[in-house]
Amino acid sequence: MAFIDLKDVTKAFHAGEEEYPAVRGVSLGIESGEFVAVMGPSGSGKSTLLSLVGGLSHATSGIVSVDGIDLGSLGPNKLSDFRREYLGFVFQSFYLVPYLTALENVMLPLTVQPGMNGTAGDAAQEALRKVGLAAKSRRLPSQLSGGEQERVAIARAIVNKPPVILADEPTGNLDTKTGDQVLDMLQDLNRGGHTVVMVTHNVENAKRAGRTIEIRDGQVVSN
Amino acid sequence: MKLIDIAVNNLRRKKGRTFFLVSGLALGIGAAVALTSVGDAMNREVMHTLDEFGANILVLPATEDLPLSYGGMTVSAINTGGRSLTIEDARRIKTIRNSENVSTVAPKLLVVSEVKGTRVMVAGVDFPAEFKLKKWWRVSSGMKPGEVSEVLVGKDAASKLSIAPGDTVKLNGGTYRVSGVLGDTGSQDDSLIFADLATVQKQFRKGNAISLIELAALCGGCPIEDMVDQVNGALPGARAVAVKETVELKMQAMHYFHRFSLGISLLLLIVAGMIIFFAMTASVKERVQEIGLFRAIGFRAGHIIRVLLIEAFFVSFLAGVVGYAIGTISPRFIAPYLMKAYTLTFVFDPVMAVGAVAASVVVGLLASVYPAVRAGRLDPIEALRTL
Repeated sequence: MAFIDLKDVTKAFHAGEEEYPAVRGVSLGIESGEFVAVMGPSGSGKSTLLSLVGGLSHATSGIVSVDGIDLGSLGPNKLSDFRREYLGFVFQSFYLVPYLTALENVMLPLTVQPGMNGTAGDAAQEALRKVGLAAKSRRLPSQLSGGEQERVAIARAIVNKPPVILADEPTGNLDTKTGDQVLDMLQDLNRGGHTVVMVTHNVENAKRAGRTIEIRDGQVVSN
Repeated sequence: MKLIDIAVNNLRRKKGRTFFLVSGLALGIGAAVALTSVGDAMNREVMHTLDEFGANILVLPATEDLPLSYGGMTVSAINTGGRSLTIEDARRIKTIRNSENVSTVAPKLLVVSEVKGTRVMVAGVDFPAEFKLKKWWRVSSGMKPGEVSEVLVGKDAASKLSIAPGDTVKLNGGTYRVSGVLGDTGSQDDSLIFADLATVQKQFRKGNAISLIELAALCGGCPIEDMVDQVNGALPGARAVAVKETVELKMQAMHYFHRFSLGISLLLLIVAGMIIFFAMTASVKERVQEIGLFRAIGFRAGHIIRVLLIEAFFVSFLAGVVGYAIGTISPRFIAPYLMKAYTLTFVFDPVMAVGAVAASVVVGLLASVYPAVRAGRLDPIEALRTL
């Protein structure tokens, strides 16, 4: 069994009596330490696939497991704990909390992590240093550029040292140069031992990954 | 950083929203506190007025005789030969523990005399005390007695005896000038002739005896039964009784005010609670992506609920403090339009302060529970939408 393992996974959404399958019978495996790009056009189901791996939604059928943990068997609280311990999310829209400083945003995952009370600040400062933003730790998101906000989001994703980083279109809102810097960081993190799964529709970005999974109409067309 | 820091930072950095939330609840709490303060003050004023309005304690001789009736009051007449009260008894009432609550002491001597061949009851009274006690007395013609040789005649007595101000009447051999006639009181006072107490005692050879004492006790802050006990203790030969109708009327009036202010206060708290409820619901909707992010990075539903309830606690605590201040200060400006006769005094009331803050916190938390639980149950993928 792969570190991230999907077996015959289907995810369908309902609108009234109509059923719309976003992912259909997908089976794939991602080994620990891989950098995988999930590519596909808009509406192909790639983000839904990421949400299944991230434990943000349950599969309609099939099994999604990470490190041998069947995500379908976890209750809401256990699923939250799983996300906190195993995953770091990097979103296209950054999703920084506007009333918290960069440092506080990075500290967020640690506020609910047992045993981190005394060291959360140091860990967050270290994460910000890794993304080159230690000097701007006291700034609010509104006082940072788009690229800097994405770097804060990356620092937040790695602060609790999760084995897996899930990035959803991480360069979607950035200019090419800043986007390249973000991809460099993801590559660095992968070299540091993190498993990275990145959703993108940009072929050039996908080339940064070690493997590309192409998905179309909810099905894997190349792996 | 702890959950409390997230809540505090949100309130601190979203000053406009925090101000709106605190203001909404503070106004509700302030209005409730003001209403309670004004209600209590009005209560005290009404109690004070009612206390001064007629007797609420009767002091009678302790006797085994059958009672005689006087205007609905029970009187054991000294004519029956029982032990009578004396003017010293009336003075001793001023020595009881709650003497400062005794507003008026009105001793009376009741005797029967014959005027123009008709038997009539004569009441020897202390006129200043009597007029203070019976605020409803109006002299319809003539004027109040100014001399000890002058009498005041009840309306019916004046009519039946065909006497008018300026006339003279003979009482037990003495001649007295009618200074005035009382207006209709609807009581037995209409059939009486009122004369100076000392003069009647002398004219009817009663020494310093009196028939009964009427007391107006200011009992806003003391149980009337206590004062009755104190009077009975001070006057062993007497029997003090509370005029139940008067006491019950006062209690009823007090309860009406109390219920009124309580009802309106509850209504205001409900309205304030609804303001918080809608504001918190709107806040949750506004922060849906933020809540989705919290869930995505590992916050449990309970963590989300705690953050929102901590915010609600701080908002409602602050609103309670501000509300108490508003509610304590504003009546100083409102009260003059509601009450003129009685001066309102507002002091720091720790019970009211703690009650206001506690009520605010309870209302704030209760109103926030549902939006907070709903926020905790938000599906993170629905909240984030981009994944």
